[in-house]
Amino acid sequence: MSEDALKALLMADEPATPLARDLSFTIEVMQKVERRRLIENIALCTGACAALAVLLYIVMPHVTPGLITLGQAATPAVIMLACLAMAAFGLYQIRPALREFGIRL
Amino acid sequence: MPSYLPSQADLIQRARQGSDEAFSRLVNDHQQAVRGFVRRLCALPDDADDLAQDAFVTAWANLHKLIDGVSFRTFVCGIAYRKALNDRRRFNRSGARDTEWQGLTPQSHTSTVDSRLTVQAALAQLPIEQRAAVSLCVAGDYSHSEAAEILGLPLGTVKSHIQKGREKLNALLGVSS
Repeated sequence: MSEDALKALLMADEPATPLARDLSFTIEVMQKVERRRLIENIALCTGACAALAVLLYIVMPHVTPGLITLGQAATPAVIMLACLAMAAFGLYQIRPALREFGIRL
Repeated sequence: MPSYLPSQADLIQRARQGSDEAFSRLVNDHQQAVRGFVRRLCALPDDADDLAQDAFVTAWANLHKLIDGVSFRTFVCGIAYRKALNDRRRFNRSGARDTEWQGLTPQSHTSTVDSRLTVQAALAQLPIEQRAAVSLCVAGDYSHSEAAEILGLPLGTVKSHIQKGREKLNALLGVSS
């Protein structure tokens, strides 16, 4: 059998020849990509929260007396810092969507 | 959406920056080549499609490892081939365990030279390296160097696998060379 004849035989093999552009296949791939991204984000957030909890557990006994001394004067600054941190985290999470609108962060 | 057709390099660049739209276009453009290759490696089309999807997801996670000058198709086929090899090893290990547990001797492969086989059955008789090399270079339009890149083998070894695979296919399909 010549190479061309073998090639023709292999190419005529129906089960091995999928559609040129199968939208359902692409959708399934993108679903798996999203699932993986979600799992990675959850793992990242869980790790960051655990690290923060450990850090606070170590630091708070030393910081608490200082905070009590400052009293209510520090409250606005703490609230502002917390709001800024949440906004920064939110922007970080939605930056792929913002990129689609031409906004790069 | 831009009115021009973006090149593969543009799509890869945008996908690396996090564009899902660019990555889905890459999947759309290369799925037929990757699925065709994987279907020739796996026994069942459904298993093959699962493996091809996993290969695309791994490619998405490792886009930063794609070297300039290597096509996306070659990159994904290489990942799919390594996954198929791992699946095969896992299958062989579990098969060996089952055989040992049941106290059965493994069945010898009967010769099918006398009967005319379907192409898929004939391909299944080849060792996976030969099957992959034949699928890429004889059934597909890949160059020998692309196949060497995908299979992670030296060029001479790939040529040897193609030659041996072709000879064995000729014998299995019952057609004189």
